[in-house]
Amino acid sequence: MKETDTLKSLRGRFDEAAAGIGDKQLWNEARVRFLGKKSEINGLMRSLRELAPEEKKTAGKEINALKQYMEERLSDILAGIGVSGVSVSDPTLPGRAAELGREHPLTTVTKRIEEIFVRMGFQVKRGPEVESEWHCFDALNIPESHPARDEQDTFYVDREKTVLRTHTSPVQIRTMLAEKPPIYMIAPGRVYRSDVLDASHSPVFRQVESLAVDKGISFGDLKGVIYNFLSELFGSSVKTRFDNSFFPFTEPSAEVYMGCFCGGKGCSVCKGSGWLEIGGAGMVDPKVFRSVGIDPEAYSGFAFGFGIERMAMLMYGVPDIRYFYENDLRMLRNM
Amino acid sequence: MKVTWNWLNEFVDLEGLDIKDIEDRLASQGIHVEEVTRPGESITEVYAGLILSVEKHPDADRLQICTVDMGAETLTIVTAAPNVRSGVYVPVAVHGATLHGGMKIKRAKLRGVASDGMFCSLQELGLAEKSDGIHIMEGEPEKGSPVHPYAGLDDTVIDFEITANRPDCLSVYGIAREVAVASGRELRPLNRRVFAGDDAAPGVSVSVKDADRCLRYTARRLVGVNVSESPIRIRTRLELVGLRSINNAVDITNYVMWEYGLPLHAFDAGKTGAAIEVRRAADGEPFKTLYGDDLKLDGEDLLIADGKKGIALAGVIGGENSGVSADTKEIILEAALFEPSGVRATAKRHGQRTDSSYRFERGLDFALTEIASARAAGLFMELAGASLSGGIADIKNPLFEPEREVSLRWKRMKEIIGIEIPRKEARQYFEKLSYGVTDTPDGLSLRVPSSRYWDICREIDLIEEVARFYGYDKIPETLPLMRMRKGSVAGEELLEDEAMRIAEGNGFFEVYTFPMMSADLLNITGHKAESCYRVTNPLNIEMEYMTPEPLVGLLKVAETNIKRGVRDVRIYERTRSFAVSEGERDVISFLCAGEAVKRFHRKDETLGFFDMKGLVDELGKMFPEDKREWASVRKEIWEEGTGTVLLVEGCPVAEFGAVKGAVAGAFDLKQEVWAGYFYTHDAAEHYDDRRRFKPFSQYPPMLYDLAFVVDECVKAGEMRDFIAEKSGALLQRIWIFDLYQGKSLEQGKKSIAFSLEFRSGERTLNEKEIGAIIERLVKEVSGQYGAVLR
Repeated sequence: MKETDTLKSLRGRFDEAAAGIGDKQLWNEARVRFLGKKSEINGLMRSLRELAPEEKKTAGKEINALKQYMEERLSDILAGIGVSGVSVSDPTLPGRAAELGREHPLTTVTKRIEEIFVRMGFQVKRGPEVESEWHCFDALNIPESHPARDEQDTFYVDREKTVLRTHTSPVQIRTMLAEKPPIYMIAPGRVYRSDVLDASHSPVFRQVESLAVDKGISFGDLKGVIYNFLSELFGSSVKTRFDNSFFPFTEPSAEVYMGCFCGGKGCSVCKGSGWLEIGGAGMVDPKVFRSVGIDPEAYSGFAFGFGIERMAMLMYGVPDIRYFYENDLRMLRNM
Repeated sequence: MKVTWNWLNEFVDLEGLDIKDIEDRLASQGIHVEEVTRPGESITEVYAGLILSVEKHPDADRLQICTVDMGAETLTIVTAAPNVRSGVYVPVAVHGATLHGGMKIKRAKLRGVASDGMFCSLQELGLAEKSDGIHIMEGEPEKGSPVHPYAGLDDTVIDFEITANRPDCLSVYGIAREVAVASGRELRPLNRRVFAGDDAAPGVSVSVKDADRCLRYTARRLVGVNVSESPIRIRTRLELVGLRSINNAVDITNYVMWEYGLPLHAFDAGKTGAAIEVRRAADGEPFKTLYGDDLKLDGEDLLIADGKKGIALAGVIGGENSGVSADTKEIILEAALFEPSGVRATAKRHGQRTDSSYRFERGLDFALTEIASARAAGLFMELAGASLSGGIADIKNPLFEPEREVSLRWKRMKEIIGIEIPRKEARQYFEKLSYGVTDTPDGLSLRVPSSRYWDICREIDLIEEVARFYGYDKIPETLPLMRMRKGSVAGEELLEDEAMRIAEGNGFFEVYTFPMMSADLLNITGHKAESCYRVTNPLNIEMEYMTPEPLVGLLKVAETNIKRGVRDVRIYERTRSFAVSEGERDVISFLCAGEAVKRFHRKDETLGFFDMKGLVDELGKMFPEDKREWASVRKEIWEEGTGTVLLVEGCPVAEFGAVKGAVAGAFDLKQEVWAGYFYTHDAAEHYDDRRRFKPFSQYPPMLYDLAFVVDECVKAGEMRDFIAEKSGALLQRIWIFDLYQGKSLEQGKKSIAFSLEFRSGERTLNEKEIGAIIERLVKEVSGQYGAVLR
């Protein structure tokens, strides 16, 4: 066979093979077959030695041209296949990933709340859960002699005048004692009430307290901050309602409601009222200011406290507070 | 606080209105409707009938056959009631009627005689707990007329939630006052009824020894009292608002308390001395309540005495020795105002919380005493045939000023509320609420009505009054003009966040538990009760102690999940441990139990030591390598020999172990359970989140794997550290990648394999020099551990 025929035939076989290259494996096979150490073209190269110088020159040129052609072609094909190169025969197979755990939904809500307030300029504070009666009640204008003291459903601890805090409000007192106004703080934390565990009550639950003390803080500011907070958490279409109420540590006091997600039509979540009770709020009572040595004529302030579980239940549609403390991993994995 | 719509209508004309119309307005004023019920609606088809004749049933001794005139028709009713007689009016439940509790009445044959319905007792009308016979109707009701208006059952009961600052709303009249403002209707004023002879010499002589505690005491004497049943309209009202009807004397005092808000007391004058003395009890003085509780009084208790003995604990409860009974003929009627905190202290001290103490301790209206006394006296005359004997005794504390003057500055009002509320409007609110209003240069001076004495004493209280009537919802939302403050982030928070990320990255889920445990568990986990905080009024024994061992909470979660067939339990909790000596410490507790279930890339694996160690290893990496060390630790909760602690600069920052069988067993966990703590609080002191750049090599690495066969007891970590130390500066990293014990090795031996990575920061390494290091290393390791290269 003539040299050129051999090359033509090789080129034909190469083209045929090249046309069928669809993935990196085939590409590799082709490369070994046509360009590898034991490939035909290499054999031809070696056989050049046996030719006369004149022939060698022409044949060499032709062989090199074919080799170059094949190299370029393969290189193009490889570019076409792409970097990954590997074909995906079944994209539904599971990947290899670390199995991640997850934070509890109450943590997610708490972090969201903290973040919203921190961005408004509030500081996050913490305080003890085993608390003195003074911090928990007396300093908050709930003296032993006042009936409101009974409404707290307090757990008492076997130490002199010590309780499990019934609300996060003692953190207000601790902060006002430690710092001078202006004060803008929130205090999320665990609180305790001797309520029997049922779908909407838990003896251990969480609150977030907020306190602002500055010159010229008004009830309008209280409403504005609460609205901003709720609209960040639940969306800008949220509606609020403020009803008069009573807390010994605020005056005027308000009960805060948020429009139910049913749009006011009334549903099982809002028990038909169209409104959801979110928490208590008000302007810091002058007696509270006096108990921490702040002049109520020079400063005013607002405070409010919301239940974290309540907000998490609304945000995630959790129907029963007990789920949060039962910790069924099937729920935790999906939330 | 339950009231009825018709009762409210006696004080404010609500014609044409429904509670629905004013509910929202009342709520914004702070008076919330909790529930609206119409108990009468559950009773249907009951009409008044006149019994014409009563005959014995031919075939039944206990049954009687009555002919009843119902106006339009005559019915035959067979009854077993013992008190039927001809000529009386009775409530008749006709065919198709529904009675209290859902009982349906149908025409039926009783021992062969057809009965068209049934006669009703008060019990069947929902107006008594138990009745002996049928109700004989009062007067001559129209035959065939529905029983509802007669019995007062055509009424709506509204239950209001009243906050602790509003004792003035613990009455029908007090709520009517708020309803009047909410509805814009006129409130009928409360006037004292005056009786002829009121100003005559008092029928009772009264002396008050402690005027600070008894601000006002009025007493009247009523004679010729006929104690009997109350009329139906009184009974029904009391039943509807949740009070039981006892007899007319008791009912009258309850009725007036509910209507006006002032608790009254009626003494049987036949059992007491002639004079009333209001004094402190002697220390240890015995007193028996009308419910038979024997009390030992305190010198702080205020007592109503008759010269010889205590006859009532002031504002709290009457005495057994002076209570009204069926034989009572003469009554001393007390209407008084006691100082709130004294009543509260006494009620608390003796565990006697009554409707009376509930009201007095919140503070009542000075002016109400004589008004309520006259109202009750009038009812005694009307319903019990009584007459007054002598005038009213009325002893007041001369220093007590029931209507105080408080001033309001417009400027302050605007500062607190945030907007200027029209002054005319504010003025009107006060006028509507019966304040005395006087203008001052910068605001108003207000004379507070005596009904609000205890609640309104400062300017801020007046500001709230304006705000609540103006409507909180009309106050525009604003944001504070806030000055910027120094911002800071506590190291502990950063550490905690980082630890959470690590736990979650290792497959652990966060849980929330109650940080309390039982005495039993304290004991099992090796804690002394006296070093823990004990809750003196726990809900149950599981919640008696504040936990010094938070992982106990995780055991409970593990139990719950495993029982429910959730096999892979890897959990953690950010919580606190509580102990008297150390107080509250932030910790993260974690636990693993069960198995990591097989997956595409992994076989079933029992969760245990390696999972716990992996987590703690990662947590440890938050601290500088040269400051970390591992040690064993013994603790009551850890299975012997499993307790392991990570020390940073000698301070424990984390520890873990296998939970002792006895502890896990308390939670029905039979498998291996590993658990541990990250001591956030202590670790924070050693945590530095600032990171430093370390230069790294640009030259290629050389990798070597070495496996040594050593005695079983050799610790892999120690060996690794030894190799690292002996390898010299070119060793960049070393890690253990295999551990083998098995048939191909001699008994008592194991093989540990290490990967070593060499690199130089200055040049490419050559095989020769590393080969030399390896050769030397193998010799040194053999020498140190008797190790054989595998």
